[in-house]
Amino acid sequence: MTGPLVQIENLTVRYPLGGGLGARGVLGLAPTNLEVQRGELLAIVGESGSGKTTLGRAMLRLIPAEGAIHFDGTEIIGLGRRELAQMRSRMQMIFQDPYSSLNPQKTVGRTLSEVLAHVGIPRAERRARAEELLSQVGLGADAYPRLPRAFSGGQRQRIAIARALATGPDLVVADEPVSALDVSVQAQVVNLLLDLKAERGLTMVFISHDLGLVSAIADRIGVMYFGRLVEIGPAARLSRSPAHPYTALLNDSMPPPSVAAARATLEAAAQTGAVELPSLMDPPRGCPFAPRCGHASASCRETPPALHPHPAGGLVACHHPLNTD
Amino acid sequence: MSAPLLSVRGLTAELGSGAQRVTALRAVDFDVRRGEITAIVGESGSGKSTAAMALARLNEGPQGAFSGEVRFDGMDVLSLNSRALRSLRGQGIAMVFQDAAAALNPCETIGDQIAEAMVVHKARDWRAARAHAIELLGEVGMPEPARRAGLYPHEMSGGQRQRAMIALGLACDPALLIADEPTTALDVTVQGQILALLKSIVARRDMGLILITHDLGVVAALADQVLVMYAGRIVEAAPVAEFFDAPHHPYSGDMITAASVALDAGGRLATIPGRPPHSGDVGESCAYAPRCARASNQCRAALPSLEPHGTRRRACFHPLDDA
Repeated sequence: MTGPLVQIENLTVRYPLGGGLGARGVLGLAPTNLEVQRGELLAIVGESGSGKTTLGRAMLRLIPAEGAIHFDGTEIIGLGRRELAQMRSRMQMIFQDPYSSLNPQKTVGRTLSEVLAHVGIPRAERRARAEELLSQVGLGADAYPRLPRAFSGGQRQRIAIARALATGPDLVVADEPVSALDVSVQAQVVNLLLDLKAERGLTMVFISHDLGLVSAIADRIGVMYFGRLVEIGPAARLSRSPAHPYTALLNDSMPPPSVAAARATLEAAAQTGAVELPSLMDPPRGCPFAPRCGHASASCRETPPALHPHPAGGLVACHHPLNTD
Repeated sequence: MSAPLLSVRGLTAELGSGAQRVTALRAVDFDVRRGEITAIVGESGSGKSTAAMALARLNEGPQGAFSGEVRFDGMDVLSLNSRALRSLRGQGIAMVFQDAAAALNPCETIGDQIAEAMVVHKARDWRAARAHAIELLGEVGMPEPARRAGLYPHEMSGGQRQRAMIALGLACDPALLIADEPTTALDVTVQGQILALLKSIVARRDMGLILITHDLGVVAALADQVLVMYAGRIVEAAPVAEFFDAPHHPYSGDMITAASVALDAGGRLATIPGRPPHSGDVGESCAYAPRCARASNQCRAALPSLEPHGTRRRACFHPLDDA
């Protein structure tokens, strides 16, 4: 089958406020359209509160959402419990914190065997399959009988990756999979994910706050702000010539490990005053980035921009996009 | 050159109890001057936070003992009695922690917390202290400081809370501020503003600042001198420009390469093999040898000492400037 592996139409997440009848909700994810191509590494970047985790979880139907999600041609928001359970084995998630995403009372072997049982692997084969998975993520078979507490953060994240792979998924959504790890260990885990993606032909959605990291590894990058996708396009284009002023701000905010460039970054940051995200309770009428944006005009404050094609590739939601020539 | 504000010699820390007891710091030497920003860089378990806390003896007790010497503004910190120590903390040395949401009192307004520090440490009357708290909030760039002084921590954004914590740290006019990962919990577009704020405070107040971080970008942006810690020891100490131009310790070099985040020809990121040793997991050989591409039998048999070399110090048998 061809076409995108995942096609999302008007996916919307509302978080309820308070309780009772007539309770209002806030928009955690504004109506979003997105395609994830087979075999690609799509990165979703944004800061806290941008909706990147909400999008990742809604995509796998881990949280209630409106709209439509076509996974390999099957719409999954309308699926019943039983059909959904079958689809679930084809889409897996890796969470940020390997200290809380593994059950501390279950051995690694038991964690993996339960998943293997769920996808119908006969009891007699489970141990061998689990040990094979462990070796694929760079751990020895001696990890099998041990509890998560025997492992370092990087090793635990490898166990979480093995668990995600145990169902033989087509799609893996990794939500900040290396943010909790030491710097020298982060690159090892990223390399493992890249290797596994290549070996198994996985499609991967990599959620991160680190535009520098995903610029190096992603095929495409989607940038989120205030629950909206504000720019999406080829990774090289976004990091070289961003179209949305917010993407440009993210690009310019990371101090690189070089003294002259990092000091210039700091000078620029010192010039911008303290700015806050708009309130979700009282969302602005126009572009949510307008209050922080040096290019904002009257139309930005009145009309929210929709995603439009950018001449250099990808889509951007901005009335005054950058780098159009 | 004037005498340093802080002078640390042979600082060694034993933490934990019984079989869990480890040497978390070994013979750490460094100086901090007024107006100077010193970055202590390392991974988890390297001893960077232990060292920072030891300067104000915050991690002392049945589970923590120090030896060596810490001289601050002429005082011998490790021999101060508890009363003198209380006065040192806050008035001499103040700390800014990573997680402002956890470090601030959730049940008290920001203005009251800052004023309380002044009343307790400097015996100021409440009204004057409360008024000064608002001035401090203005100094740290808090918009509408008079109104925000009446807010509780949960009513503020992460960046505002970190500004409030810096104001609290400044409440008693310390000569040295220790900031432990002050921007790690913040979004990247807010991080730069907080770093710029710290830099301007150090210059304006002629304070010393010790910045604990794992982020080499933050070090490059802010620091004057860099101390690299690994397994409880300083392995390289250098002025910041020289450090990034030409690191001498292989660990420094590997960290700078990893921080530049680029794919190699094989489509992979540069990595450092293995993982950081556990806190105190150190023997009588170079702790980095198991991960180091330059390690020899000498490195596995003996512990390189931290030796001066030009403007820097380094602990390595095969430094990167040796061809």
